[in-house]
Amino acid sequence: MTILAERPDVAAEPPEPEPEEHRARGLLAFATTTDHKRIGVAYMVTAFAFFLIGGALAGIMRTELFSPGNDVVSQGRYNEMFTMHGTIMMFLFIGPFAFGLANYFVPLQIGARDMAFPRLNAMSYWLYLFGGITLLGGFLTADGAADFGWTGYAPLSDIVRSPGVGADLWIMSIVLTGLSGIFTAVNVVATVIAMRAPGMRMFRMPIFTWNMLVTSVLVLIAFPVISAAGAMLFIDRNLGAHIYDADFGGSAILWQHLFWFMGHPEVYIVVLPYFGIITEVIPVFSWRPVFGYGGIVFATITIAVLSTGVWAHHMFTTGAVLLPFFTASSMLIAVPTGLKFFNWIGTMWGGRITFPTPMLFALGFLFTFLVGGITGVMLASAPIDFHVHDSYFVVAHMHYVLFGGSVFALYAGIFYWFPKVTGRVLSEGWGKLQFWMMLVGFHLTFFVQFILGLEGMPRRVADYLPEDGFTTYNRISSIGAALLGASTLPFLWNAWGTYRGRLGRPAGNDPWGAQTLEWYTSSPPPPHNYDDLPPIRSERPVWDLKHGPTVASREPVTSDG
Amino acid sequence: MADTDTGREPTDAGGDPAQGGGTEGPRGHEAGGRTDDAAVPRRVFLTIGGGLTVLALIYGATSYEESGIVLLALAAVLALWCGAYLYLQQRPRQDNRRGEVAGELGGAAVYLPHASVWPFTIGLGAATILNGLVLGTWVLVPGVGLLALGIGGWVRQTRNRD
Repeated sequence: MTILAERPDVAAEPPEPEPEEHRARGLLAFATTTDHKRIGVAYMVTAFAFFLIGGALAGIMRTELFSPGNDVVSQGRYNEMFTMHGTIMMFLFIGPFAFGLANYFVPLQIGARDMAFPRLNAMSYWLYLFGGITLLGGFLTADGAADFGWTGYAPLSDIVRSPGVGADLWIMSIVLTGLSGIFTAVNVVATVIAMRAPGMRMFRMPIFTWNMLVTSVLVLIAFPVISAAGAMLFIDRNLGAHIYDADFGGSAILWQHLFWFMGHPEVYIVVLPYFGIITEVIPVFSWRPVFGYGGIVFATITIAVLSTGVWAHHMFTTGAVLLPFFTASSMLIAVPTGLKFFNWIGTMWGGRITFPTPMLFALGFLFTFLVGGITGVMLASAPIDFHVHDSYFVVAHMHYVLFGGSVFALYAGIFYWFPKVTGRVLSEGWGKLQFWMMLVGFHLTFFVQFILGLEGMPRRVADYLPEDGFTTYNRISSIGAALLGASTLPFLWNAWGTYRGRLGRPAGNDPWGAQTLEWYTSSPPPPHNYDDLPPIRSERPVWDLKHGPTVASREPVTSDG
Repeated sequence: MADTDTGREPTDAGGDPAQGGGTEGPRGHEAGGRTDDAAVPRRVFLTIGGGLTVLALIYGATSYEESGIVLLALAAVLALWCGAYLYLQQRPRQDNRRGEVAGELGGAAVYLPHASVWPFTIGLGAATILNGLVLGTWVLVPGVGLLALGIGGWVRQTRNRD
């Protein structure tokens, strides 16, 4: 896409001037870069490309479900579609995009000149890109891509029931992207701990950086499990082991435990960074500091702990898990999440709220994610879950959390930080058009799926009968999906036009009246990030610089600081 | 839930939101410098590790299901291990405690390579090897070569500091 091309060289002299013969251009520069900003942009552009592919698959599925009968794709192809849609969105889009943002903005927000391990950073990106290509390669094989759902449940995923090469490529892709995630997480943790600028104490870091730190810890806990589980599945399939094979003393349920021990922290891995974005955007456009900074950090850490103990609420209907434990822990996790909502509302309360596009997306996030969260509490209750498990109710809930939550926040982040990355503010008009198309399209698509689920329509089924009575709701959903998909077009036009200088406006260092450190440097930042740093005496140094430190942010007179 | 939240409000946010409009909003709680900053990262890890230990104990005592116990215990060990490492590695960062020093970037003294082709080589090599396991030896062998080349180049670059 557009923002990968050469940036205008606005930099002053770097502290250690790069030898001229080492400065590459074009594709070679892309392949050899260790600059966290270029890697971050590469991550985001790649992830967005996967988002478009995954979205196209969803479009095909919604077209198929528009009317009864197999009109568009065969049932086998449909299985490949939803498998690849889920895998692409979870492993190749929403998580990597967050880590792209982290790559770009964590060093800037803490005043570092790069990530702690720049080459490891580049390596993570290449593992991710090649892992993604490996996954898509499944479509080119004779038997098609993996078709056992993004959960890859045993025994469906064994060699007898899924003999295709696409399934093995799926496993390899999971291992590669898992490795990539682990390396990036190590990098983020090391960067936050070791690379902070003088004065950037832990409790002065922007909340986005805090959330990326905790997200990275969750990645370190979760991703090795899925990589190991994938390796064991590969051994089962190709080397004749029987780890998940109940006929030979293995345990099929073990796969579910391993998968969801990654899978549920994964939900928070792809939500916490976006909570961080929201916590950056809302204070800026409410003209206030974030309300309850310590409370948000505390809530994030609590979510990290609890999210590790809720995995088997995906497995209630196996009859093999301890229902009270997982019901209790799943409901408990709503408390720190609710605390965050409280903080966001408290931040807006009494503030001077303005409504440019990033703030609109943040508010859209608040509404839609709330519905996702509340239906999550409903599903945490085992009696309800038994009733609606594997129905469209779960599909609707999950999309309210991951699309209504993460993707709305993701666009809030794009509109908020695009000026810093490219030097131009995205067009407000196109942005607002996109927001309203997305909001209406999203709710049209997914709200009726709650009703479909309650009426008993199962998920992952390519067809239904006219007598089932699902036709009307499915048509509403498909029309909404068309609108939702079309809402990407204004964004692409906006991003391209703004980058080329035809839309939007020049940004300057700080177009929003923002608070955190990244807005101190030029837009786009020079290769070494900062020529100088302002004194950091609170969690919003740029604000202090402009308005003078507020009363409570002054250091109290103590002997040891 | 709301009770707990409002209970936290005065201590954490330090102000009444109704009065906090405009630019002089209530300030964050941490500006006062009561916490030893160098201890915060390890406390984050130890808190997570401690919480996971509690979860593992409750789960182990109630569920009689082995895989979850192992996974929770390993996760707890991971977090506690990181916390212990940070405790042993801790060096005082005097300049970082009062926040009065400005100007120097974080990590200014660390070696950070300008550009490197070896991450690309290693990434391509690893991906080729894993694809080779599926597709056959003709893919596997070049992958091993690429990976070896990449690791060798990486090590050489680190030694030469170029």
